[in-house]
Amino acid sequence: MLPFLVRRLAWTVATIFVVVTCAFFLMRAVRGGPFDSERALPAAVEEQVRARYHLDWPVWKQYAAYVGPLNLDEHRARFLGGDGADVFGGVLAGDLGPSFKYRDLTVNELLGQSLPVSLALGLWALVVALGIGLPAGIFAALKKDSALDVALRLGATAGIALPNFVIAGFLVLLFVFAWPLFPVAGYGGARALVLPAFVLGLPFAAYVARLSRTAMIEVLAQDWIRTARAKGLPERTVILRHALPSALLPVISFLGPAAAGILTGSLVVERLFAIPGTGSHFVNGALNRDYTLAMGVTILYTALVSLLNLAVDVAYGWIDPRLAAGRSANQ
Amino acid sequence: MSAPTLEAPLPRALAPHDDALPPPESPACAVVRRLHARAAARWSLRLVVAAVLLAFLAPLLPLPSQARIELARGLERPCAAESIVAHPSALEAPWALGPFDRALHAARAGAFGTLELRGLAGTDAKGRDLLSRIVWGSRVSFLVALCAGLTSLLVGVAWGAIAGYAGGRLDNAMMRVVDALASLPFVFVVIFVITLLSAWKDELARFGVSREVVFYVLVGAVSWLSMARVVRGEVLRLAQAEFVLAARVAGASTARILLTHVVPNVLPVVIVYLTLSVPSILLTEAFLSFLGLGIEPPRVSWGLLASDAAEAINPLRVPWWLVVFPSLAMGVVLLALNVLGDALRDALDPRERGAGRA
Repeated sequence: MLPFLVRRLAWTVATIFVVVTCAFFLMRAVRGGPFDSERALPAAVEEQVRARYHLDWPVWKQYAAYVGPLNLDEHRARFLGGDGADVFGGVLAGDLGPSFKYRDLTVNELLGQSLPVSLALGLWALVVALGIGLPAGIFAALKKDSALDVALRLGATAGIALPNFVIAGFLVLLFVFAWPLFPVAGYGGARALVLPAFVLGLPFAAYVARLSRTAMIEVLAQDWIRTARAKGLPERTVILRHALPSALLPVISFLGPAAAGILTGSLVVERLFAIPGTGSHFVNGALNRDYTLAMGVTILYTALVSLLNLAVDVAYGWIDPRLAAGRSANQ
Repeated sequence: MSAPTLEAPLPRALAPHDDALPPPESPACAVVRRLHARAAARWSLRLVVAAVLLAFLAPLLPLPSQARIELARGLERPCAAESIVAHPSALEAPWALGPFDRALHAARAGAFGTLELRGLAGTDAKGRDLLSRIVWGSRVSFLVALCAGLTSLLVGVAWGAIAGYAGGRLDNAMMRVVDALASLPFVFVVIFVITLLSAWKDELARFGVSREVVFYVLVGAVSWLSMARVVRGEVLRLAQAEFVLAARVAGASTARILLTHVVPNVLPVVIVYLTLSVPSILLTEAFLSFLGLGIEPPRVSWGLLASDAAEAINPLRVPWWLVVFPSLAMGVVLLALNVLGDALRDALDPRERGAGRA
């Protein structure tokens, strides 16, 4: 297990490092600075601005400062010296630099404000996905080929096929205008999060329902389920204690992609419902050419998704020991 | 007496052993038959074909230009009355058309003159005809799907086939790259790259690469990963197959084996994954255009229509048609494509084929 973990962790770190490096050089290769579109500044002011963002340094030095193997920030204590100095600067120390558009804020401050909002939205969406998807999948499997099963399967296909802003449009028409239950947009209070969380979670609920239905049907046909029934266990116990844990495996391995998908989907949902989350910041950053902000969010989400995938893999090996064994046999 | 035939009777050894069994049908026929046996798949196929035809023939249809702004007619409700009228600027093209589209457009001028069909699905806030925008938008959306699908096909199949056939260290390295890319939140990276490339618009335009082309390629770049994985798996299996070994023993070159023996056998799987990836490409396009990072006005796509609708709707005014009609068009096509892809996968599934024979 441990060698596998170490190897995966090293691989994750390498991926993030490559993303950071590519993003940095792409960003620097773009002709002109981020301040070109504004009206021409006096030369002295422009020099000041360039100095503040370290644009006057050679590229390798900017890179070293951004990634942070050397702490080159003159406002802090120097490399390996001074009082309790950070050895690392830049991304390695978790510092994503100043925002190019919101002049008074650093990317870290922007993320600090918006990330809790996005995470809350994402978690609720995950709750919706599992809370609706799992029971739907299990019931559909238990009543295979019944009208309920067919209806749920149709619903799942629709949920997977439709983009979430289409679902959002219909839900807003229904539950905001036709039957005013929820506010149309904005952030504040649990009521405002209900509709966005549903919109974000429903496609994944559809996937979860599909996966758990297939797995459940497969598991229920196994011999040991028949044995459990033959022992005289109540049907409830057979389903919940014996069948469900095995049927959950594909759902668990789907959680990694689902989390990535929910983060991606939150771009649209946050914009639709005017929620001040990281996704809105990212889109605005991309539209305004706020490179450091866009890059910061990309790096953060890459790290988040990679770590989540790792966690899912570890959990998977823990739940299904056969896999862990297979992995060590492969090594 | 039976009619004389030109065919010589088969030697006994080659003739079917049991005359009661029908002759085995070709795999392609079997797939078509199984596909046709399902009503849902049949209707999905018809729907998709109809939508693609409609998009393809858009210049031929007597619709107003999707870009014609008539502020006086802003946010008109859908209305069937007075929908066929002659309009002086009915023949404006919505954007610069290619030669083929110009021919279609000329045919339309000949057939319908300045008559146009308008207002059936209402108008948007700027008075542009919604039905026309949906039809022309489908054109752009399908074009993106086609280009991105081809990118995914070329890159994914080549990558997977080479990795699977080479095996060993190269395979390992190539699949590691796929794993790493798959672990990225790809849409973020794509958005980041689109942002950066928009700064190079002029240089790229000099090479004849517009932002839209960049967009097509990038959307394709998102979707080749699963294709590469699937193809590699198939190729790994095929590389050990007896007919490939036989070809190698016969002295066929690697390129020949790949092209004439391996790739044709991978095709069914590739077709299924292509069908299944088209909806996700359409979704990605809609997603990016919705965010304002994809197709730009005066062109229009389904994602842009959804974004327009989201902007137009507010508590004071609820132009429901702006939400309902584009969503309906997108939803129906995506649903049909998904159903078709699933049905095709089932029809091509060798396990089911085996079960059917037994």
